[in-house]
Amino acid sequence: MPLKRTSIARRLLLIATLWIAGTLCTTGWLLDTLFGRHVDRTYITELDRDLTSLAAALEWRRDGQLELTRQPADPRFELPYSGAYWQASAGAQTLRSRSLWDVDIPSAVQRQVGLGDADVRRGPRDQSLLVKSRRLQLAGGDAFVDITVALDRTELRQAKRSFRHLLWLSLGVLGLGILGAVWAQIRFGLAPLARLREAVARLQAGREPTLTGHWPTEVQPLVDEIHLLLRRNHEAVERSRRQAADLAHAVKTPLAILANDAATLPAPAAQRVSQQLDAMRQQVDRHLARARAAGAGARGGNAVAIRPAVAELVRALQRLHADKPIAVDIDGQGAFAGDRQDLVEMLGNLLDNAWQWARGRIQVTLVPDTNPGTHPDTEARTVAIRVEDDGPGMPDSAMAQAVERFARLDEAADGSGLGLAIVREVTALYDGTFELGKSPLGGLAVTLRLPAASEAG
Amino acid sequence: MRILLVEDESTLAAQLHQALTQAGYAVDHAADGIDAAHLGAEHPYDTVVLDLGLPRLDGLTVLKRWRQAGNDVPVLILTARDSWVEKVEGIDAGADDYLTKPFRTEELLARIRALIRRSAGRTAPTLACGPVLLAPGSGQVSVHGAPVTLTAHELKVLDYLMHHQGTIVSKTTLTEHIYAQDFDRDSNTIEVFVGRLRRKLGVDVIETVRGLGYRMRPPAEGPGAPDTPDAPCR
Repeated sequence: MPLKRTSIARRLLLIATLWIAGTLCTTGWLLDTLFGRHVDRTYITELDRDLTSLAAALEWRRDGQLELTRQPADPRFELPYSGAYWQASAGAQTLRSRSLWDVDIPSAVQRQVGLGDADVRRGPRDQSLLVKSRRLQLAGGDAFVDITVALDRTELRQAKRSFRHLLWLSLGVLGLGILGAVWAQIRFGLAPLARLREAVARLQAGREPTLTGHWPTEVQPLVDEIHLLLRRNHEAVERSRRQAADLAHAVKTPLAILANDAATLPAPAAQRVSQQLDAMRQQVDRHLARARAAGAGARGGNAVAIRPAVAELVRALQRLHADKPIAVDIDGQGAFAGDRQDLVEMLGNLLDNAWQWARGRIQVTLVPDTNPGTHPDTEARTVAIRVEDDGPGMPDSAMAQAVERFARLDEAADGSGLGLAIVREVTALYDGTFELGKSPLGGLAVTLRLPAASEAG
Repeated sequence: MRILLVEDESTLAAQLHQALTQAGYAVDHAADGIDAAHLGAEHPYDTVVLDLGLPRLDGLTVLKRWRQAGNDVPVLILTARDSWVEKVEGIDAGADDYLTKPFRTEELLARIRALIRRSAGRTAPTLACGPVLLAPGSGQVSVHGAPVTLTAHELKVLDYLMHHQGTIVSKTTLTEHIYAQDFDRDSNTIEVFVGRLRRKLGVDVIETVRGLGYRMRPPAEGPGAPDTPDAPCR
């Protein structure tokens, strides 16, 4: 199941991405800050130690000069611009580490660090220094001595940077991992919906009459609802068919009576009335045929084998046209995904029309037309039903007219045209196609393309 | 020829009764399924015109009962049920033809004629026996091409005999097929009709088989039809 198809999956994934990103960013910031503070604290402790040992090494000489009695242990204080500096000043005199090379540690503070214990200053050669100062009185003198120790922050910053690097990398990997897990969870969680969709597709294609299988409690109500709808739909079709039949009976018998009475009228009136009655009869027939047609809406798990339906109709037509024996050949196999009565109605009209025109032969060809690629998962396919006769056929112009005439309901078609018009309308209910053409046998070839069920019979 | 008309709608039934009678048929009428089943089983009809939506017993059930009992009377279903599923159902129940309402009376009469003709094993619409020709639709009779005028009853007798030519038809059978059920029958009148027919036709086509009945067949030698002395019965 591709993710972008279902918006539920996309929504869940989007929400998950947002909260994962939020959580990981907060965690990263927190860890980064804590580590930064820890590193700062470590360096400040080192500065503290240096300060203490300097203070211990400073003394007032008898001449009132400040003197460093022993050099600090760290050799960096001896190396020029090494990054480690100290400076002690009292009044006008200042002692510096050799590394400072006669430059003062600048007094301009860039920012405070570690609760004000230390600060950051710009040092020589653009070094960023961590600086700690202390003012104290040495034994043997009243004057205050300001001792300042500074360390280059390059190392400190490097430590922080490499930590940050590692931190965000691992958080990124963690985030992706969680996202993957969420995706798997969504897929697993939504799997019943995908299954439902496939079951509905099978239902549509007429391979199953109901949504079979076990469903999670969240999906079961939906499945129940679908079943209920199917049943209601079926009942509605049945009801409308019953009503159509009732109406047929209620209207047609009076029409027959009127037609019989009309025959006793004087000639012009009789003709007029009988023409009008014919028009009424055709309208009634056509509308009843439409009312009866279940159409695609009732397509609930019906796979109707076409061949037996043709055979059954041929048997009936042979009896109905006992004076006109016709050889009917049926080729191919196929099943129609739809209502059986609709199929029989379409085939009946087609065959009856062919029978009226045929000289001696009717050919019925069934061609299941697999069309993979359009809807691979629903297996939407069509079946072509072609009915040909060896009669005189229809000129091209008449064919175009016929198709146009079928499209308009108001215009009364003649007896055979009415049958084809009904076929065309029922075909349209199934989103099928209806084509008129010339048959190699010489007569008319009518081709229907209707939704196919996979189960061929 | 005798027809059973099964139709519950009284106006239509009256119209059909009249049209069929005018066309020369003896007509019995049943207005519900039970009556229809009974009449069809009791009397030798030449055709039944059967409505399907009947009170008491459905037309299809009536038809199936007759067929199960071995009654192969030609049945034309005349109904408002016009879907192909219903047509197939009707034919499968044993109907020989299916006509939907509304219909033209001429169409119904033509189909009844065709049914009777087929059940008698004939294919041509015009019946011929030697020089005698009969067009069942119009009721026109001619001998050697010259039209002959017959009364309604004479025509009925000739029609039945011509449909069943070559076989012996008893007077009782003739009576049963030319009179409706409620008609006051007298088999002696059959002899009168046959006598008149022989006179009017002027050729020897109706043979009396002593003790059994009548048989219609082409004249052995054709005094009036030298070109077709042995014209077969068609």
